[in-house]
Amino acid sequence: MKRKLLPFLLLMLLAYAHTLQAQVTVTTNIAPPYSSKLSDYASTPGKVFITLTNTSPSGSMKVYLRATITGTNNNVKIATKSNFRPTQPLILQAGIPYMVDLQTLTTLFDVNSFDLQNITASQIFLKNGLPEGDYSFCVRAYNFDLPTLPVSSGSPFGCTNVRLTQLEPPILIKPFDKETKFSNSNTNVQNIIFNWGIPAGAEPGTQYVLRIIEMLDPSKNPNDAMNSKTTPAFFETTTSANIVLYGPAQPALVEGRKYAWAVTALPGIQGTAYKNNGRSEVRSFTYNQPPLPPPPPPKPANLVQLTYPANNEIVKPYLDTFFFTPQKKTYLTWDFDKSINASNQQVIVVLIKNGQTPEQAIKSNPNVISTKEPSKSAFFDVGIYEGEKLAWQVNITDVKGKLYSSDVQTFSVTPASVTLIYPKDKDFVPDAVIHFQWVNSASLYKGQNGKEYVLTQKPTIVEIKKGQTPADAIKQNTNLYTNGEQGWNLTDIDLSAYSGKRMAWKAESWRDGKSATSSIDTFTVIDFDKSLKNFTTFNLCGYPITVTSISNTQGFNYKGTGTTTLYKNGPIVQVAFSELTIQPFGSVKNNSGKVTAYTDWKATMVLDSVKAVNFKKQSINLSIIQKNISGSFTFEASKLVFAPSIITHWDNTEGHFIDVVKFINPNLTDADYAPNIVGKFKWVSEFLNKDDKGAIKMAEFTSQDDQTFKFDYNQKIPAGTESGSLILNGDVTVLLKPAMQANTEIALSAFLKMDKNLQANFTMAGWYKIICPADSKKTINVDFYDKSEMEFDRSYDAGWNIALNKDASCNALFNTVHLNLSNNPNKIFGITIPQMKVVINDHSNLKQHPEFIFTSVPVNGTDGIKLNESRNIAAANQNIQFYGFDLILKKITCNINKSELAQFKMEGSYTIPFINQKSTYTFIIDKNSLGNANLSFDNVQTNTLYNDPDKGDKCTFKPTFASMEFTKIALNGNFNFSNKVAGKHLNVSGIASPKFAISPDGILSMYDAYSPDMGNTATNPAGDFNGFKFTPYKMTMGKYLTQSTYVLKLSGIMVLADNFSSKNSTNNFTTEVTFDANTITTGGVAYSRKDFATFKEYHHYIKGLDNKSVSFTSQADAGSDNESSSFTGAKLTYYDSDGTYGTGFKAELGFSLKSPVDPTQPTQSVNAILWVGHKQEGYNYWFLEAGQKNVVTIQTGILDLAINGFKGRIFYHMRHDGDNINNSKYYPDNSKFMGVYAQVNLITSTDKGIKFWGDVAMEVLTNNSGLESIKLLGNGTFISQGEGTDGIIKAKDCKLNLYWSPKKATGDFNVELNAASQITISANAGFEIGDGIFHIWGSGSGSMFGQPAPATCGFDLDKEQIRVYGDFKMIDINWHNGGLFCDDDIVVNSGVKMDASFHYKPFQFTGSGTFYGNAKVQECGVTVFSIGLSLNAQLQFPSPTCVSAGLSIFGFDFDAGIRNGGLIFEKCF
Amino acid sequence: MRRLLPYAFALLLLHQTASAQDIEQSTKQSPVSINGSIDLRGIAYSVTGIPERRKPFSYILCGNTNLVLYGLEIPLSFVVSEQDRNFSQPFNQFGLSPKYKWLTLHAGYRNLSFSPYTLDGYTMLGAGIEIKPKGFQLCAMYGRMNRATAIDTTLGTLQPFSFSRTGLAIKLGVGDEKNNFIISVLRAKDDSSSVGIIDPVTKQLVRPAANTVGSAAFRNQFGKHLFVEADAGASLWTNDIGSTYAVTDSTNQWVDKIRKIMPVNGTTEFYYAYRAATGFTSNAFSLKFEYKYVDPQFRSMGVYYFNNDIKSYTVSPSFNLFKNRFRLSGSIGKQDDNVRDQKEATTSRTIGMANLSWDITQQFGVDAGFTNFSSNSKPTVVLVQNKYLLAQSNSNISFTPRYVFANSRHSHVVIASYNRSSLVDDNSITQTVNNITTEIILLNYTYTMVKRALSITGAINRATNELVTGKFENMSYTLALNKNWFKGKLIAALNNTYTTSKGPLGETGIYNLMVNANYQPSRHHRFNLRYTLLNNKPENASNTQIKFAENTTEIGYTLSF
Repeated sequence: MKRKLLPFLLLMLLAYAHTLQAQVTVTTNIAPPYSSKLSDYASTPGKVFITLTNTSPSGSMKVYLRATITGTNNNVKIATKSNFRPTQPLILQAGIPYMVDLQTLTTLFDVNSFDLQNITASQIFLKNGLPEGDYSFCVRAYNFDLPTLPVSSGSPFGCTNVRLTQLEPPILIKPFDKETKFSNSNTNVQNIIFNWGIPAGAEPGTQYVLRIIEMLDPSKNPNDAMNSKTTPAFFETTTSANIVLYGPAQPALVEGRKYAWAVTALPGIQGTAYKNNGRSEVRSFTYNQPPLPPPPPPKPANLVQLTYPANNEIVKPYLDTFFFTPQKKTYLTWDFDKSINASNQQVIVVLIKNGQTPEQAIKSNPNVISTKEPSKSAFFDVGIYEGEKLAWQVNITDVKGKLYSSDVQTFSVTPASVTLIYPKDKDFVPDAVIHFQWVNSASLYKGQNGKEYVLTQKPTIVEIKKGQTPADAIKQNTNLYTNGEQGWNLTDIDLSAYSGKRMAWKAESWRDGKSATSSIDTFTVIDFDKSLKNFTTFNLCGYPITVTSISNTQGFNYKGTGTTTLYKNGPIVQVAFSELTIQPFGSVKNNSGKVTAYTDWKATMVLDSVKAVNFKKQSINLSIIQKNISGSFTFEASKLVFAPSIITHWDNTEGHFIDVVKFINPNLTDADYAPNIVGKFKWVSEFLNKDDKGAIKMAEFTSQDDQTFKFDYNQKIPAGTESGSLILNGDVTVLLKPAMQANTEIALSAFLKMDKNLQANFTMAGWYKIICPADSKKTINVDFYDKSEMEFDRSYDAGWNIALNKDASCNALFNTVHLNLSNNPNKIFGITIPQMKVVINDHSNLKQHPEFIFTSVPVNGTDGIKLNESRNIAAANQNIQFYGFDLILKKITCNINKSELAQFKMEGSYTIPFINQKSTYTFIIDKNSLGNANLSFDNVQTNTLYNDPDKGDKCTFKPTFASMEFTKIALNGNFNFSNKVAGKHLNVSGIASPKFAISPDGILSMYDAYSPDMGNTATNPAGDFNGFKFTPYKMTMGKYLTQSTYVLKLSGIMVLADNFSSKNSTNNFTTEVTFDANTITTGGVAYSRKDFATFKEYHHYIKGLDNKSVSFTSQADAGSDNESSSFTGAKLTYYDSDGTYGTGFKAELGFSLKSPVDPTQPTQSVNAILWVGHKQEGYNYWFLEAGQKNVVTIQTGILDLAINGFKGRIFYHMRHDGDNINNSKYYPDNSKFMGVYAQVNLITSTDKGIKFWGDVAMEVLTNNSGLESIKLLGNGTFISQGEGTDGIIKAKDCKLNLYWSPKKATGDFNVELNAASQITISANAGFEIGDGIFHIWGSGSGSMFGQPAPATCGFDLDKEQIRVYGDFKMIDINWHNGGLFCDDDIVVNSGVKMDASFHYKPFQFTGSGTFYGNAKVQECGVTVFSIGLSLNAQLQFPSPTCVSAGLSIFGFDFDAGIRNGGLIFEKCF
Repeated sequence: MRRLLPYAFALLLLHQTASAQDIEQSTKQSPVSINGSIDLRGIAYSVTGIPERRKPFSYILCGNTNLVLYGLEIPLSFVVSEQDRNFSQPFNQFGLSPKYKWLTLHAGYRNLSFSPYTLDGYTMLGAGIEIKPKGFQLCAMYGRMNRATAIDTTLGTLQPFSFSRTGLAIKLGVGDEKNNFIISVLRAKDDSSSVGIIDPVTKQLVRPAANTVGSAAFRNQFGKHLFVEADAGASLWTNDIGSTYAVTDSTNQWVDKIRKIMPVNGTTEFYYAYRAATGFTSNAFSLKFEYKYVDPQFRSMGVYYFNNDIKSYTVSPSFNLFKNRFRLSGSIGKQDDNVRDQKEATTSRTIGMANLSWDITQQFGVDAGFTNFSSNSKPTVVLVQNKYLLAQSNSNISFTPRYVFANSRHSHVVIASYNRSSLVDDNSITQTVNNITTEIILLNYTYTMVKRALSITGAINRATNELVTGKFENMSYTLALNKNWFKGKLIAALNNTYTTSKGPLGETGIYNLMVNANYQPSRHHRFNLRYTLLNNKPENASNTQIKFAENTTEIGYTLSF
């Protein structure tokens, strides 16, 4: 207590002292924030409040003020100077508080009037104020007249403590300035962190205002945007944290929009002051740059495509070295889309002048091509434009006159040139008279003006002396050719004096205005030892040839005859070598007077008759196939050229050749000759071409390149203008078949490239195209275009592939490709057809589809034929066939892409492993699997299936990975089947001509008879069948698809009664028993439960019973004559612990009889159903129905109506499903008791213009507590008099139901009015009246002239209110446009909907009107866009009275279920 | 003003000017042409459940056009909206900058940048000229910088009352982009008599102020790779033109000199700031070092905002390897305040940033980012309450692997992202309140059928925020469709996001729908319809968990010509 009292006493004492001198009380208050600038306090009104109160009783006082500002934690002290006294006093009236005015404050806080301690005025100036800290501001009043006398108390009186600060505003951290990408860039889930740094020195709990504004003009300065922001701001929030998570509940930021944001720190409780009023910098960010829209559909390629020359291609005019005349013309080729029905094709080719773009050149320069109406190709004399750049374009006009233009492309032609032909560069020539040859390019002969020139030419042939370059030699040495200028391009020079010398030569040609010079080539002159003639044997590619005669022809060329054996111990055959070329590789080295020559040599061996040679050795790949030739084709020569390669090279420093002869195939040895033909084949062929008039032209082809066969029909056969012969001087054997037909069009040029070691036979006919450049080895690229029919025969080594269209740029379409595999029977063949799909799609609307046919392949290989899904099979509608050859396969592996392959077909003699028998067969795999694959056995042959269980079980036959459900192996004949194999419980014997199916796993089963094409019905299968004895006409048993159910079906001819059937020629009787069992035992039909899949629908099968049952169905069909009659619906269904029906049976029987007298009379029918069952829940149910129709007719005497049928049902513990009279489904239901149903069929008995027929039924239902309901059901068709079969007025599906408890009556009536289908009205009316229920409704709609009615309307009346409504259409536009590719539709409709309801008590009116419009755009039948707009207004009164109006947008055709959106204005009064 | 001009021209200028586009080359086509675009947008808004967050209807019309007359280009821009207010900067602005070869004139509302210290993007209403022949530039802009504002009550203290203020800025420079020397000056003054006005809202006296800022900058490039640059500015700011306070340090000689330029009295303050940087750049590697100093209170009437009281060092290296497939850039810096020792505590900030973008294969790549701001205050006086000492770090780390597979038929884009932001407070007094951790994880898959021009995006996004008030957890599920029709003329996008948000106040489900249709029937016309729906349905609606639904519909039309 004392301790507490002491301070109090001190305070009292102080107060006393204060009152002694304190005639004036001073209170000082400063309003926050507390800036560290003195001037803020001095001159800001409302900042500092100093109140003086004169407490002395002696009246008014004159005072002045002095101030002290003391820093409590930094020792700064500022006090009013001791000599300070303002000029004017403050006059204080006694007892009246005096508020110090601003002028006084300004004076008081002038820094110039302060004494400063621990700080200088310049510091205040430079540091912009006082140092931060806690300060005490004290003001004391002094007597104005006695300036040193205080009149108020000192500290703590008149003081106030403040914390002076000048904090930085918050520093923004995230988002960064101008940021555009947020972590949610791709999701649009709004989740942005706004984060800023807490200003250093800020009070805990400081509040920050985050403000975000949308920059409507993103180019604006964000500061401007913030300064001119909208109200309210886009987003503003106050938080005490330094982070705001801007989540999905915040207003949605729009992608791509720019926003500005800033954070303002609010002054804290302690008045912390911030610079810039606490506001941070203003930053902007762009909310997620909009994601890239999906790329627009690729621009369709121009419908007109220029194909040759390619754009910017450099074209080299063809130099025909055979005739030494320049080939001038080439073909320009193009193509256009099939959709263009072209009537005219115009080609424009122009020279490009300096500075012109190709497009400008096309527009302004003259067309230099004169071809008229070409089709997809045009001659162009490219040779006369050597050195020029040309632009070209094709314009196609279709039959309607529409113009299609290709892009403009360019090509250049190589400059005029002279090419040296013989000797070739670095060649060796004998020291004899040499025939120098060169050739000149086209433009030297012919100018663009059409003028033909005579050339002047001159060769220069010189010796190269030591140390000279060839060019030096040409310049400096004497020309061996001394005849000067000449007019031809060949000359003979005697080089006998130059043996062992290196020579150089060139040729130049010129004419008026143009000249060209060849390159400088070198060659070496050799003195060849002619004693070579004397050798008697040489080895030709492993064949030792004994020379019997030899003679030198020219230079190093010899010919002769000899004998050889083509394989070890083989017969001796005669050979003639007509072109044995021994080419010295050079140097002749003089060694002790002897000459040694290292040579390369080539020999052409002509066998007497190649075909006569019996090549038995399998490893010999030598065959020339001449087959399927038709037309006038001449196979002129069959010369084999053996040309082993020799690798050596000339060593310049040594002056001789190094290395000796090496065969390229090191495996070749003399010991086993001719393992494979290694070498190059050459043969010459020619074919004839008939022109329009039937004259035969000869076409000529020459291939110069060893490796490349350029096959350019267009260039070679200008239709009917030129002729020649085809020489393929390379690795290929080419067969053309048949001869080129008249009018054959060869569309495009191409080349076929083959590596060596190959032999290929091509049989070609028709119209085709080859353009597949390919350089990869071991690959042949072939491209056949359009309606080609091509046989493609060649042999392969292991591991080779044929790649068709490997390059996706190739177009290929095969009608037929024949692949001859006969030469390499032990090898594995991979047939690669990549990218076919692309190509086929391009031509998918052609009627013919490509087929691949493999002929004559005795495939004995261990691996059989492999067709791998990923490589072999490509396009849709593509067939692969194996025809007519023996095939002994242990395995066929055929992984087929089912969705794409059309058919895989094998025909021929074929050994089927699992039955160990050879058979002829047709075997087709189509895209559904191994479908329609028929395997036929002759019935003269006894076939045994599984007679050896070991073999049988080991065999596998899996043509596809899928099952073989549809596969059928037809066994036609008398067969014995045994079931020795365990698990194959089938024993059938003595069955004549049965048809059974063998499933892919080798299990023989009798398949379901109903599946398409599954003829596994045993005809007359008299005998024992698993314990059953049958003698039916036909017996069928099988499983359907993969189901476990067996169906036993008996059908035959049943004689029902004398009068009733004469239809005995075909089956009139079918009985079917379905077993839910998966095995059939010899003990009879074993029935075991098993769940199985839903049944397919069959006409006799009971549907709707969705679980285990055995059904019995029988039907007899009447014949086609009048006296026919039939049993229908004879069914016995057995339920076993069925989920719905429990255990029980249902017996149904129907019998219908057509009138034997008048077939137009209705069929009389009688039916009965007995149904008894027990449910697992412990109750029984039963159902009995009996009925007849048309058997008896009873006139009612009412409105001409007669009863022509009735039906009665009584049922127990069952429930009728639904209120519809047409619904006769009943289910067991323990909550029901007994029910009775009676139905009467009514009909108008005479036709008096009005017809009626229909059914009326009454159903009385009881439940365990008594009567449940009485229903009157009706379904009538009432036709008034009128046009058409339907009349004018029709009533249907009417319903009247009476319910007993609670009592209720409901009715529903539908009426249709139809005036000749031009005007229809349909109306519906109904009611529901009962205890406390009163409801009547009606509505109607209709159509006029095929269009929906302009209005529908209706009403709805109940005890509380009435509602009327209507819908009136105003606009209904359907716009249809047959577009380029498919149809476009636009549907626009709009209308007004009115809806008003009056509530009676209390009275309330609600009404609405809606104007709506819908628009829908369809493209190709697919809705592209659909939108609806509605403007609606509602009115409601009196309580409350509300008006609302809105605009809504709906009907977006998006699956997301977006239907509503829009704006609503609502106002209640 | 007249006295100022010689000084102004004596000073030199800096940086590049604003928005006049260079168009002289396009004049060959036709002597008179106009191009540009006009954009009209209407925005309708409705909300139930919460107060309106924007106006029920608003519109904006803005245009950017460029008129070309015989080689003279006159770009013109304008904005018109119902939202015009009498603020310091009018909402609706209009300006043009005709240009011919190296001469550009400015008239109307323009924002030019002469230097970071003198005139830096501040919007002025006035006239300007830029003369920029090769190797030399002289630019000047004169105009109104603020218009006198009536008080907008909605703005409160955030938007102080201001006088109409006019200014002149001049820039003079020599050299090209690589080597140059530029000086600039700004002189601005409030257009008022020397009497202050009391802000009726804040009750504060607003006094007319004057400001003169000078700046010099140079840049020198040594060879291809090395450069040095520096700039500096000095600002003299008189808070109250009419103040009767005398300058305390009257002995300072140049105070008298300055007085000739602008009013100087006891409320005049002087600040300076400078920056120097040197760097090395090459294709694969670059390194930059920068030093910066800004006086406390550094202000300039030509600059909207200055982060001041700063002394900082920054080193920024960047690497670019493997043919541009690996890009790493970063910076680390130290920044101190209290450069004049007048704060109770000196706060040091360490700012680190690193960004990595690495295309590991053509399909797969990773982006990662890291930023860290840590602040630490050390007292400079004896008695400082601990609570004022800042010791916290803000860090943000993000990791975004992405997989993009595209061919001519399909494209698949899979992006995952992890983002973690945290604020860790080491001050034991405040840490319980301040610590915040935010984590965002997302997985996004976009499948595009190129030929059908259809994109489907599915995404899952999880965001958790741990604050002192509790943990907020958002799970968002997004399904978005984007489709083009008619070769891209019609683009429609639909974006559905459903978010379940769990927080201390309960659970809420937020449905965001965005429908956007863009139809551009020709090059000239573009129609845009955007509809967004925001539906917030808390499990238990309450005062704090408000159930609300917002509809925003925006219809736009753009005419390009």
